[in-house]
Parts: sequence; structure tokens; C-alpha cells
Amino acid sequence: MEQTDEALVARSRNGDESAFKQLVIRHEGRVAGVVQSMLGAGPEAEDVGQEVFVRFYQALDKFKGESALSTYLTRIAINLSLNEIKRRKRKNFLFTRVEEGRSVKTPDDKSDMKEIVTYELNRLDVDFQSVVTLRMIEGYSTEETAEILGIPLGTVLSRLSRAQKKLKLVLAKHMAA
Amino acid sequence: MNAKETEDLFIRSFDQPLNDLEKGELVKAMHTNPGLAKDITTYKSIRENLLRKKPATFGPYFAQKVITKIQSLRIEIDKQIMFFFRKYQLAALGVLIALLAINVMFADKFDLPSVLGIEDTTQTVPDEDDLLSFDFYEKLTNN
Repeated sequence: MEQTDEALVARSRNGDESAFKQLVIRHEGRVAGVVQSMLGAGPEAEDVGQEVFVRFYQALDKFKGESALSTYLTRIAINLSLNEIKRRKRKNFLFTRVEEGRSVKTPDDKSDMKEIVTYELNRLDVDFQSVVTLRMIEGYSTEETAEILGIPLGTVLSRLSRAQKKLKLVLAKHMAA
Repeated sequence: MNAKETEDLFIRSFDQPLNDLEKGELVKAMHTNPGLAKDITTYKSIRENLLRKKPATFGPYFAQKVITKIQSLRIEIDKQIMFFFRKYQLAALGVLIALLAINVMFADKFDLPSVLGIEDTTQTVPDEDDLLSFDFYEKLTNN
């Protein structure tokens, strides 16, 4: 019988690495989805993904189970992804002064709608990007999105609305080109 | 309801349930504003394209990599703890050597108990009763 997250967390606290490994396997998809949506797929995203679970391991004793484990991990994933984006911005500002270096392929004539949308999403401001990632890509409810990001529900709705309008505008440009 | 309000209402309908009045207004606006239909198609397309259809992954052996990283971090922390306390260990060793050197300098004899300061220096004190019962006069006259 499959063990619950709570049981695996309790075993992990007692130093059972196999239990923690099961937790990683169980929640890898959710964390990978968030991190790759924010940073693009690649080795840096994997590093951030590993860091998410390492941070969780280090905070096992502090995890009280007040929110679902997936929500807790998503919150860490979003925060670490935002840190990584800030780090990339600083790096670009100091050394290359090029466009924000998110690892997403630039669309060309052969790009389909999905590639264009993903590219444009990654060009949005990080505040919009994190809301869109959670709500529109990962399928969290607006309430869960607000809880994970620690912002009011109204802010989530307003950011979603503005992000979609921006995406519609840039898509219209792509379609016209 | 103008075009902008209708657009806002439509976008909101994806994320929040509308009340009956808002639903009615939206349906009415969609019938009267043909341009809105195109926008609606675009918004639906954006959302369909963004929504994840298959689970994401970091690739094979990800979980094992995490465990290995945790193990290596634990070893690193142990090393750091050792390194942190090493200076105190060295200081304690220095103090010990200094104390032994002082002991050697001031020792009467050069045997191990003296150098280590474990020489038995206790003196036996005679019992008070023994002292009182000792008769000096008798001792002197007998001799």
C-alpha cells in the first residue's frame, strides 16, 4: 500500500533516506513544472530543482503539515526560481548587458503557437510570470496561487488579466509578421 | 457595458465564477460585438497552449542525485564542524604543552609523575589522640 506524504515525512525525519527518495519521486513532476516554466528546461533548472528538495530536507523538522506538501514545495520552487532570475539579471547587467537570459528558444518562422506563447511568457515581468505559471500552466486554483505567492486574491486576478492581455498583444504581432 | 469591460469580464470568467447577471451581460455582449469573438478565440488559444498536458521531469535518476547531494552536504557540514573546532583543539593542546613545560621546569625530580603533576605529595598528619597521649617526659627520662 502506498504511504501518505505525512508518513513518508515522519520516516524521513528519522533519517530514512529511502522514504525521502519516495517523496522526491512523487513530487518531482510538480517542482519540475514550476521551475522549468519559470527558467526554461536545462541544467540550471535541474540545479534549482535539486536545491528545492535539499531545502525541504533541511527544513523537515519545521514542516508542520499546515499546507499540502505539494503547495509547500511549490512555494520553495517559486522563490528559488525568482532568486535565479534575479541572479541572471544581475549577471547580465554586470557582464553582458544582453536581454534577460532565460533559457527559452527564440521563436522563428517554423515555431508553433505553443513555442511562441512560452517564449512570450518568459519575457513577462516575473510577478506576472509566477502567477501565470501557477494558475495557467500548473492548474492551481486562484486561491491556491494567492496562498503560494502570499498575495491577495484580487492581485492574482488582476495580474492574470494583465498578463493575458499582454500575451494577446504580442501574439497578434507574431501572427501579423 | 463597453468593449473593455466585456473583455475584462470574459478573462475573469476563466478564473472566477460569474454571477447570473454577469453571465447574461457577457452573452449579450458577445452577440452584439463580433470583434469580441476573435479575442475570445485568442485567449482560449493562449490558455490551451500554456496548460501542461504531460508531467514535467528533470530527467532520469533525479531522485538519486538529490539524495547524493544531501549526503555530500552532510559530509561537508561535518568537515566544517571539525574545522570550526580545530582552532580550539589546537589552543587546548598549546595550553597543555605549556603546563607540562612549567611542570618540568619546576619539578624536583625528572620522573613521569612529577612532570605530569600527579606525584603523591600528601603528608600524613598524626591523630590528635596520639599527640595527646605522647609523653615527652617519659620519653626523655627513659633515654
